[in-house]
Amino acid sequence: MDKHIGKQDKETKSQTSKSQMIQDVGEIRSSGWQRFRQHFNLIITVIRQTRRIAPRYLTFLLLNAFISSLQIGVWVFLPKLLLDAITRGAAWESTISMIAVIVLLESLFKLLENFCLSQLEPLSHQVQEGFQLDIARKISQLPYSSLEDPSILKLKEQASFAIANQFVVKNILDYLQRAFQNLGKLLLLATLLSQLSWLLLAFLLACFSLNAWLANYIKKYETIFFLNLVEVNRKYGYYIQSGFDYDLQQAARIYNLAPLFNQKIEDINREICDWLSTYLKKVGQVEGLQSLIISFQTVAAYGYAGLRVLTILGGPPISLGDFTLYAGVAQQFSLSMREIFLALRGIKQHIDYLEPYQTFMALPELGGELKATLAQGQNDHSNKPDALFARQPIETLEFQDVSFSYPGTDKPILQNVSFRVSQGEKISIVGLNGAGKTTLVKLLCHFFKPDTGKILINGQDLETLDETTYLRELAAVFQDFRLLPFSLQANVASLPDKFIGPCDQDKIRAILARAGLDPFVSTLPNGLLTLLDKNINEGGTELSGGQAQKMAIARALYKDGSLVILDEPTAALDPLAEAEIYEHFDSLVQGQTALYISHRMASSRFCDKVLVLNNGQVESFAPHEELIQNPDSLYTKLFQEQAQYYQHP
Amino acid sequence: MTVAKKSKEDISFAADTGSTSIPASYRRMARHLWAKLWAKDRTILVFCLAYTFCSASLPFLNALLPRMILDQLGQTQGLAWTWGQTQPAQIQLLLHNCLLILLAYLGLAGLSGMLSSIFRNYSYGRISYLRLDYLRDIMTCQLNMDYHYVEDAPFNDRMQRVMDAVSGDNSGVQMVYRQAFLLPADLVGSLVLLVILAQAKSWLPLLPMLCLLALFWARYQSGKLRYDLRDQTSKANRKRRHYTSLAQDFSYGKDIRLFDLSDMVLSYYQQVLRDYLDLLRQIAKREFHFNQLPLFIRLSSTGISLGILLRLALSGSINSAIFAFYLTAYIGLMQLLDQMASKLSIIVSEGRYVQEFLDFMDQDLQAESGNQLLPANADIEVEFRDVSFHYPGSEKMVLDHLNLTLHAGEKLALVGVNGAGKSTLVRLMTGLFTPSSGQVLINGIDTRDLDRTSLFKAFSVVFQSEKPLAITVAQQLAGSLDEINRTKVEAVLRETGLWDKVAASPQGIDSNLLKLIDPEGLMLSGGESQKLMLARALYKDAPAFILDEPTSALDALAESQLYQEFAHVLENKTGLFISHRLASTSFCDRIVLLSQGTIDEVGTHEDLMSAGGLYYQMFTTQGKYYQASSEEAAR
Repeated sequence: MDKHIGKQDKETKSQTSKSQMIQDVGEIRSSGWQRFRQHFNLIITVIRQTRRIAPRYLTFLLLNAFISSLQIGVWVFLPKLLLDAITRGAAWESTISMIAVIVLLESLFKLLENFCLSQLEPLSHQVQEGFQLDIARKISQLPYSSLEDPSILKLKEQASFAIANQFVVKNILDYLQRAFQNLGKLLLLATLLSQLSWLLLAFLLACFSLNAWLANYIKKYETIFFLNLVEVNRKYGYYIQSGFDYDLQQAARIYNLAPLFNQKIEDINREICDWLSTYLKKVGQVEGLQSLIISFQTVAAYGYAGLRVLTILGGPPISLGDFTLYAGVAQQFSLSMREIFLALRGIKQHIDYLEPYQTFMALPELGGELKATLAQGQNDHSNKPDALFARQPIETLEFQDVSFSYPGTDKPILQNVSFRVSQGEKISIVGLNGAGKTTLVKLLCHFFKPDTGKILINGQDLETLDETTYLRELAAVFQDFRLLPFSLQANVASLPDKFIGPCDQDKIRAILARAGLDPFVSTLPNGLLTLLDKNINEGGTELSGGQAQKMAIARALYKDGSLVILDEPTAALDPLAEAEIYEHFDSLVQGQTALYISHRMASSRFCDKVLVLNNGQVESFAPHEELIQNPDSLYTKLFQEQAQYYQHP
Repeated sequence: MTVAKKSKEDISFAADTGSTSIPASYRRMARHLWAKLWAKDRTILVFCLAYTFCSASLPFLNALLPRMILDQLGQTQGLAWTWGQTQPAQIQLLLHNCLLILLAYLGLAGLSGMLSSIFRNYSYGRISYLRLDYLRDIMTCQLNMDYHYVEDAPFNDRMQRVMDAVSGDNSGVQMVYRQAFLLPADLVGSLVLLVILAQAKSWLPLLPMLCLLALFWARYQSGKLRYDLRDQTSKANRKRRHYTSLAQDFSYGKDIRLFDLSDMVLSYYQQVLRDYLDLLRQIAKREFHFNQLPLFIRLSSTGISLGILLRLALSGSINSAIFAFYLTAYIGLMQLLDQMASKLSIIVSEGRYVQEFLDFMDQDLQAESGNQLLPANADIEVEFRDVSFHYPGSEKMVLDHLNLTLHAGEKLALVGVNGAGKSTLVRLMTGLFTPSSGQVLINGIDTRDLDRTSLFKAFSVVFQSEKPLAITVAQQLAGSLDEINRTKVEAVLRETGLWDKVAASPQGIDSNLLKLIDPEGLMLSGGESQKLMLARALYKDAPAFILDEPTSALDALAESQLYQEFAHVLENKTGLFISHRLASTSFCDRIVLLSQGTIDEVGTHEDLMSAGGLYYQMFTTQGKYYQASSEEAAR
């Protein structure tokens, strides 16, 4: 059985849906250095993108880091200053002014810090959305054939899911901010500490490396854990989504499915929590060890500073004030190291999820191709003057021995298809599901290129034509057409409201009348400005299936192309509305060349010729009256099958 | 439209009245969460106690360490030594003491730190389970609630919203549980430090308390701000999400390219993004202002405390070791208060969502069910008596004073154009909806008075396009994971012609369906999966069968074939058969034509055709283009 390509799309979509997209981390771990370089490149990408989307983010990031280092300076020096004053037996008046200065400084820093943070928060959202916008922009630049490639769809879903649901960009930015903030502190503290003792610095760094090693050790468990969890999570996502699925709710009641779901989910809940507990137990033990190491660091700091007070090891004895300073510096140094480590680990954990984004953004764009055709256009300048602006109506179209299979598959969809349509002809294309009808339209729209054979437009090979000029001539209603949640007029004219003037509105009204939508539009209080999609737009309207289809037809008519393509335009209409379209078909197309695809065999009666496709091959191409003469043909069979419902008994 | 708007206002109104009695509602939340904890996992409590004990001792130990060391070091004052001289015995004693102190600290603090990490992590896994259990609760609620809620858009919006409280690791229920787990340790830890500070000056602890209040106030305000603006933000958010997925939707690709729509889509998308970010900026700005008060109070408190401690030290009433003790205690306390304020405010802000969730779960969503029972497996007679119906939130009458009886043992065909109310009729009959006016009687009992479970048992329905679930074939048919009558499964599979396909796969009727969960799973075509649904209906073998256009999603050839097969299998059953293909219902005893919510014509196909009414008109319109051809073909 042939499988319809649209169905394949749907399947991959549901497979790559939310539930399945969790944590593809740990998939394949390439060598450490390579991995590191990859991560580094990704971080550079993030920073670069951030600079482009919201340069102020980086400014505030650095400012915040600077302020943090100043702040920590105040806090490590404070005890020393006070203790020195006490041992000195300083006067109350002089110390009180010192305290006042410190408090004022601290106020200033805190205020600045709060300000930075209040700026950074919305800016990080801006960057996150900027990434999403980039994906959208990229999609509009991709050649259409990429959009039907399931692997690219999966890539896009992964890229977008990581940003929208795992908040990768936002998290990385937050970690980056934390890393920078502590980096500022660390620089100051390391300078102070190196003044005190290289030995202590070395010891603290050694403790820190031990900590980092422990963290890396737990990472191994994390990888295994998440790999196992992917499966469970996917199952969980599937069943919970099914439980909430609108389409299931009637059956759930009639067939009492609640206990089934309840039991299934309870089982998976237990399973998830067993995994989670095993993993967290390990994490708890390692984190416990890490906190023990921190205590070691504290002890070392106090021990060393104490030794410096009591003995002359490492230099002349220091004062009690200096003791608190050094102990404080050492402690804060350990803390900052740990914070930076956590931030870097956070980045490392999240950065992998950005890989699909990077891969997606690096996909080849249409631009390269387009430039090539334009260059060609310039070469042919004598033949096609002003190729970009002049309209070139389509007079004839011809398929010459066209064969095609979708990229990455070897199943032929079209085989040696040849036919010719002259100006003003109306052609009905019929055939079973999967016969290649919709694929033929996609080739004609230049969404795909034939593997072999040629499509000739006005005698010229489609490949040599300028894409923009050519697409300008096509007015198509696809089987799975989409309308946008904008105003009615924007949908018909394919232009934003601000570009639509009163003249255009008159034209739009006329077109809507031709498509049979005027009675509907006149009931709308906002008329042409009524927004579609009630879910999104308050006061919007919801079109019925039939109305939407008429809108799509109106949009195609407004475009005024010289070739009209209607792919299953009546699928969503009831019999009466369908008949209406059939009857007005002539007035709808008004002398343009038209291709009409339909399951309903009746449509072929008002067309000049019928193209019967069977398994990707042209079975016949002739007027209905001729085809129906042959009682054994596929066409007659199909026609009879449907006709039997409507014959008088 | 107006209805939807109104109910939205209702919700925000309800939220307002909720916020006036905050303490009560938080107490209620606490009771709820406690009950769940108590019922599902009491070990968490033990862990919490152990964690509190370990974690609370840390700030105290951290303040004690510098004091004790400084105490020792302070004794060096006046001692003098020079380079190369052997250390005086007193110094050696001091060194010895310091070492002991450090070792004791390492032992105590190291152990407490380690244990608290362990207890904390052990509990987090268990807390996740509680959250997942709430998610299971709400799914069960979705599957059991009165069906009209399923179709109720504002209700669904609300459900979506309340579900946020249980769908994340770092929000809602799980976050509240976690914070509640951590909070006692902070509380005990800061009490200890407060007691220490009180020894310096009895009223000194008041200052940090004031700071806590101010901090809490600010967090509370910003939480409230976010909550108050949540309608606005969630709307902006929804719009943003919608536009993002629209702009990234591949299925728009063809239209966007052919009609050159990408500039328009991107410009509208950017506008939506700008609106969204403006809102966020506005919130951040106001939160920044809230933070000024705690900042001011905190710094004044620090200034005053330092001044007092210094004064004590300078006047000689405390030595430098004690001074350092108080100072570290003060700094430690401030940190603890920060943590406490943020935990409390998380509980308060996340708690609002949790409360909404719990309020939602507390509703009685199964109010429609009556208490009369239908005798099991008795014949069913359905009577519609002057039934009118409109969907909630819409004023359009879908059924208008409709009268119809489906007699026991009868096969009735229901035809009509799309939107004529055919599926609605099924929903009223099966008790998924109750009529707006009039009565639907099952064996003479109003569906309003019938127990829903008992009513649902009376019908086997095949729906328009229900997809099979990723469970085994047998489970799908039995609608249960383990209560399966295997002989019956085989029988219905044979009857519907699916047996050969199922038996051919290695696991037979225990094969999983779909490839989503089991990569080896059984894939069914559209026609086959509808046959599977018919098999399920046969397995249930309820007194009445309903076919609700089960084949309309298939192409013309498959559709007519399948409908014939279905008709054959159901030859001896009672029921209602719906189709928009007028002629496919010829095996039924009577045909009912539904048009604009009323029954236009009733009778056999021949009756209706000769009556020359709407049925005749529709039949001929549909068949018009075929008529001449059939003559031609016959020729």
